[in-house]
Amino acid sequence: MRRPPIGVLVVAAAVLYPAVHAIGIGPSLGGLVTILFFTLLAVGLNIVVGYAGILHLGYAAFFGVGAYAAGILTTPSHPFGWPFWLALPVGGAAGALLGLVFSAPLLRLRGDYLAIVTLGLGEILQVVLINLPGVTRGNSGLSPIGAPRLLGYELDQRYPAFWYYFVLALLLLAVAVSRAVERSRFGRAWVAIRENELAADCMGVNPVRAKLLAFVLSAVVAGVAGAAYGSFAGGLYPTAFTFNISATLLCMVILGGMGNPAGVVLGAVLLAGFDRVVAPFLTEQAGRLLPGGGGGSWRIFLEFHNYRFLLYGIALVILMRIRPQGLLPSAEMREELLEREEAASAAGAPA
Amino acid sequence: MRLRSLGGSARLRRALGLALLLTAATFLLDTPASADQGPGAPVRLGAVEELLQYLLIGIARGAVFSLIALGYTMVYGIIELINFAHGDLYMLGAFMALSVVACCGGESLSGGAAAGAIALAFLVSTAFTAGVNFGVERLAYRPLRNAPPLAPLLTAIGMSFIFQNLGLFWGGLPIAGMGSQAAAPKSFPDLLPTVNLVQALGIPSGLSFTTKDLFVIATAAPLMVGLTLFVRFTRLGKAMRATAQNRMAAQVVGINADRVIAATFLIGGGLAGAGAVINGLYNNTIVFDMGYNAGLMAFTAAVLGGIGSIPGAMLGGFFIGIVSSFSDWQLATQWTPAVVFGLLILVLIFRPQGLLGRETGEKA
Repeated sequence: MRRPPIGVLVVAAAVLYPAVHAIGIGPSLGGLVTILFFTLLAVGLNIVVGYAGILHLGYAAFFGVGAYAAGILTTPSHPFGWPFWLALPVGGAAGALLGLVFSAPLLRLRGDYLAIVTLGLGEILQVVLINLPGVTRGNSGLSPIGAPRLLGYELDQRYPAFWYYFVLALLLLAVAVSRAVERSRFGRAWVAIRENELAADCMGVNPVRAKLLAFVLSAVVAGVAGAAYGSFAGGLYPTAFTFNISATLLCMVILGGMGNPAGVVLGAVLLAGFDRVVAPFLTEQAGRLLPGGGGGSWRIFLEFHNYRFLLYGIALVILMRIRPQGLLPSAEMREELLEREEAASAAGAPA
Repeated sequence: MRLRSLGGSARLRRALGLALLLTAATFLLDTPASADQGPGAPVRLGAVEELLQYLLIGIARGAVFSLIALGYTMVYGIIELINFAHGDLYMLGAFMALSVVACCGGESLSGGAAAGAIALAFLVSTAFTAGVNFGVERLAYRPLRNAPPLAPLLTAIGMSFIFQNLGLFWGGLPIAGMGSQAAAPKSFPDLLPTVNLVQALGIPSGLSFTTKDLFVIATAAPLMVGLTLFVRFTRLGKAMRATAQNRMAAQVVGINADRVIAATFLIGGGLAGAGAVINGLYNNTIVFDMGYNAGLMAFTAAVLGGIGSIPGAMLGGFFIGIVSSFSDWQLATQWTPAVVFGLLILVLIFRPQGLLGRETGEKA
């Protein structure tokens, strides 16, 4: 029973941070909002990867669909001109719809084939976003996108505190929903499917329905996050929804600990924190130490965000080797992974 | 001749029928968007000639896809791992080839010196990718042989990140051929003569089949034939087929599975390196993130042909090459990835065993 106090402390610290920042300490709120968006998405991805055990490699597509659905409805360059607060749920619904349409045929597949299909799905969406300039404005981007209005304020990026609390609230909601579903009969169905799909099926658990729910629920989180993100960023570009984003989110889930929202939050904050806080800081220090130095192609070694994927890759490889359950795994996941490994090493002893 | 079992002729007939059907389907997607911009075609081509032209482009492109697809299919056939990093290994091979060629003198080479540089690039690049693949198997995949099934796949994704990032950094090194922008596409020296053989032979046609196209076929085909003969007739090839069929049983009869797996990674890696050199000399531009797309195309080819099947990967490679070339022609270049991935999804859903694969029942 140690966990609740830590969780409460973390939430309290997150809520109080803007006050601390107001006296001039720590990274800017705008940068933290991006980290919160990543964290929100990672918590959503965890539903499908961590709970249902489906390796989803195209999650950015759902993020993109939500973002573009809401963006098209709110941008002045299209004739709809909806207010943000109406477009937000539509973003979630668009994600859910895409999840529903595509998951139904896909969920018949298993394991790595399913992973590749989700990857292909993400790629196709990317191509569609670029090549339908009449709807999405293609590579030149959909911009500007309407900011939320509240009490007469136009809450765009000039109000980072609003965005900080708004995304934090969405994140807490996503974590709460995750926890609630995890404890429901669907959560138990997911555990059963992960352990042994055939056996679960025989015991009356409908694997397709359980996986579908995970798929759609996580797509809703991505859709809502996308709708909010578009409004925060003020513009949408297809490059914001590439495989790199899907892969980064997946790393966050794996690093933090599949199946445990708290672990996923930790993983997301670590990786996104490197990207948005540590790397810019190091780059700045390097620039200060070597003023004007590192001209030409050398510059790339001194811009630390370029180490991002090297770092993620090394983290994944090492993690799989020594701690496949992640930094902060859920109790079940730890047992499942270690049990399987023991069983496998017992069976494979002659190798 | 597949790794697992020998295919019957009925299966081949069915596969060819399906292939024809799919080809016909790509033609039905007829939107006359860019019909008259055949690359390098100064003379306006007739409909049949144009079709032949894009077929030739597709075959040249497909030869490279086939070489990469072989690496996917051989590894999958033996340890059931989608080697996600394979496309990025191919990219590293391309950077190695560019470095070798550029150090030898690059664009200024001609005649015998150019031929020598190309031979050296083949040698170094193939050895390099083979060695890297071998090393990665040893360090990253072998310890996971008994781990839960997703662990090796995630490791491969991690390796893909690492390779891609190394490619980015390679582009930033102050060595010959890399230019001043690390992430920018690099131009690969155009060392092959470009003589249109159709004109040279005096055939009255606007078709273009250059010495470059011939080079692609002339280098890729012996590699594929050699691999086929190797797997079919050598001791190690036989051991590979046995290990793919049933690793435990192969070990029982005294096959050293670890050695066989290592050899598979070595050969698959080498083929990717050779493909990278061919592609560099043919397309004359490389970029650090090209491995992702090439890898997906090649993986699609491997799945289409029936993953685990060596002739399937070759057939699939050419098929994807032709489909992508026709899609460039009939739709538009920017839709081609969507067409190929759409095809991948359809194959996985409706025929997960591929054209030449056998029913597994496991994936569907």
